Amino acid sequence: MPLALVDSGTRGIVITAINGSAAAAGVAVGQSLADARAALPVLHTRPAQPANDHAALEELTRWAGRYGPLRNIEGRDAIWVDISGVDHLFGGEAHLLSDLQRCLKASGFTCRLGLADTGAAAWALARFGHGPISMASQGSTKTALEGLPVEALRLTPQTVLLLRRLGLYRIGQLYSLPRASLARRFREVRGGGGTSGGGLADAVVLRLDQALGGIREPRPPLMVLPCRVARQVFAEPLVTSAGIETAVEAAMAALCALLADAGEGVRQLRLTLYRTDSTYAATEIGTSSPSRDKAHLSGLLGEKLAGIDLGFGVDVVSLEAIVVAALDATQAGLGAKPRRLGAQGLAQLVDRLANRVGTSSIYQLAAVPSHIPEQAECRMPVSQNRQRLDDKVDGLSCATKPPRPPFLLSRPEAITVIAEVPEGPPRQFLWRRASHRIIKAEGPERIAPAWWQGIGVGDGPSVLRPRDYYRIEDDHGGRYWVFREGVYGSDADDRQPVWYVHGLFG
Amino acid sequence: MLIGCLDKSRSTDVVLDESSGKQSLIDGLRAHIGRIEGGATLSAASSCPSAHWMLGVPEIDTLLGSVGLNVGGVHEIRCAPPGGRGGGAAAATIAQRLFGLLLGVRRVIALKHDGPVFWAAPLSACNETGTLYSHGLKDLGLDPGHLIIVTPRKNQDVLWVLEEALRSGCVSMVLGEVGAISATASRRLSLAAAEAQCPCILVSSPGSLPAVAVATRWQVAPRPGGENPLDPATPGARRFSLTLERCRSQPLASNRIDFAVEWSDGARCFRMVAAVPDRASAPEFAAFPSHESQQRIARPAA
Repeated sequence: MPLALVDSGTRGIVITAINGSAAAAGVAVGQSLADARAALPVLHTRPAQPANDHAALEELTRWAGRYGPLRNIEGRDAIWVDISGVDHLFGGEAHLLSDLQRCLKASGFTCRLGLADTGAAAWALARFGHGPISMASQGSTKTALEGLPVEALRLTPQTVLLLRRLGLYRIGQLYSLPRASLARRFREVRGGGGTSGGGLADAVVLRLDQALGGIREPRPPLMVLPCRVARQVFAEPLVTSAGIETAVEAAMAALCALLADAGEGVRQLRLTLYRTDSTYAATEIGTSSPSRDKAHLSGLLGEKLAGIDLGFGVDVVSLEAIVVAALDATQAGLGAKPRRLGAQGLAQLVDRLANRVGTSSIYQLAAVPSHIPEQAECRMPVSQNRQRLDDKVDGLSCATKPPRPPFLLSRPEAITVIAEVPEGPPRQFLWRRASHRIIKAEGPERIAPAWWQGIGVGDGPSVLRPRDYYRIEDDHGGRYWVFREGVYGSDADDRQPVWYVHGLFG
Repeated sequence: MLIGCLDKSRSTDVVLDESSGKQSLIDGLRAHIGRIEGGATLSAASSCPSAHWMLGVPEIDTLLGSVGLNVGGVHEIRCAPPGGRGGGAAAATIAQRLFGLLLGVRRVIALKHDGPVFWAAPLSACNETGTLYSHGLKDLGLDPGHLIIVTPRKNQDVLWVLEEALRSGCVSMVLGEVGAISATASRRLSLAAAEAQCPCILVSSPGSLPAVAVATRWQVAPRPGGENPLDPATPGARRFSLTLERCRSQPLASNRIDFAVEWSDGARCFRMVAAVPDRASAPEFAAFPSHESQQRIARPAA
């Protein structure tokens, strides 16, 4: 049954993927659906779901960690895996590829595999090699690429067309050409239509060098390589949470021993549970200061473990220290019951809270040298060494500043104000549908924006309008910090001044 | 009459007969209950009189007993029943929060050493009435450098944060804004506070039921502020109407007394407000001339 996935493009509905029988009937990817239907009326279609495709590809990439820790998605439909130093575990490169093919076939994927010394050459072999598996053994990349078409160099269609017009069809034909003239002729066109994505380029020499290993082509991996790993592998899958807890504890002991040997403490830790049905569950914890305290880290992980779905059982428990920092050895305690030290206890408390309520929900306030009230402080993660930071700012701030409210609204809220005179303090104001009659007022304190940048209210646009702050008290004893943005009768702007309430004095 | 009280854990019987006075009987029983409920609390606090946590108003401090506010206890601050109008409700909420902070300031002053202070409030409350502003806190006398702010989403998480902080034993005080608090939750907090000897100040939301296991419970309402001696048209000292609803260490008189106190920014303590200016609500003091009312007067509830 010919089947195609379709998506709406700029010129109507376009085919994005086809199956074998559709391809045999002459349907091509990129063809418009109307054209394809004209040629093949029985073509079945389904809407394409690029987001789901990407998610599935990412899932597959994570699974591919079986063949090497460094791997990532390439383009729309490819995955690369760096298998340096891994192949011997599978009995050689050929066996590794056949194992990979077998596994993918079992999962229902049709695949084309390429293996070479460089990523670019493997890309070329996978897409343009003969048969589903193409392999260039070590040192034979140049000969393996010789017979492939020039498209295999990841060049833009315009460049490929030009090369073909010049009679250059195969990569092998490029080897003998003088590099200087080739480089001059095929330069990277910056900002041109040529670099339309998909990692295509104009510079033939660059691509050739990348394929042959003359130039390094760094590829960011999907996951950062953990610094230290402790794994527990089981012949029979664990199905109970008690079993998982024991396994995690054993892995934690191994990891902490590794960290102690290296004089390091963990800042970020990932626990990955590989299930038997080739899926996995991962959870991460972070600490505010480096730690290799087994009990503490286990406690942090323990809260996350309860929410993990074990599925049909877990056969690999992997603890990975993603971020580590130097941590000198300290005495844990004297006698049987170790006492928590002040700073250490606080760090552990903060970790516990942060792992439950979220890192962004626990913070300290630090002063910032700015005269604009909402910019004069910032939120900082809790740490021990921030006292010095405050001292630095204190030297800059003015000693005789008018009082500031202890509570500041996250964004100033607009109020309706009645004032006796336009330039004077308010007489009455309406805030959150409640009317406040003002008994006493102090001000104004004028705060002007810096001339090179305005200040915005909340998410509003930045304006170069001064603010006049008043400290007011209403008839109920509530005290508010309100301001008027803008000045009446100024020629600079035609907008009327606006009143806001910014803080609460209590 | 013979009263026997059997304590299984210690097997010390309190046996008193009629010949000893009623007062000594009560004192004896009170001391015994104190021993059962962690007598270390009182004895440790009373050994160091300078560390007493008091408001600085003699009339109120006498109600609290000789050792002031219980360091290892939960202190709940409730807001007075709303006066009906929206503006009053907003002012009441702010006054309640501010009083919680000011009690904390009094504690920090009594404490001398500087451990971290935890402040936990649900995110919704922060959006409603603003988050703590470090420059304003500095004016009040709280060092923002020692303040750790936690803003969970759920009320349940706020209670958990407060308890975890208390149990860690490395904080000097916790303040929390909580919604509904169950008897179990308040008892847990109370036990954690007693164990760590670290006070917990709860600012409860206006509609909620009062917490059960608290050392003291205060009711706070805003009052029009004091006169600014330099300029009468500008706001002066902050004033509160204060009622001590419950005090665990000291039995309260049956009629609740409403105090009018003001916060002195310079001295960082509370002061009793002279009763005169509020003529409308206290007609019995209307005849007092203002210059004679310099001494502190407790004003009974109108």
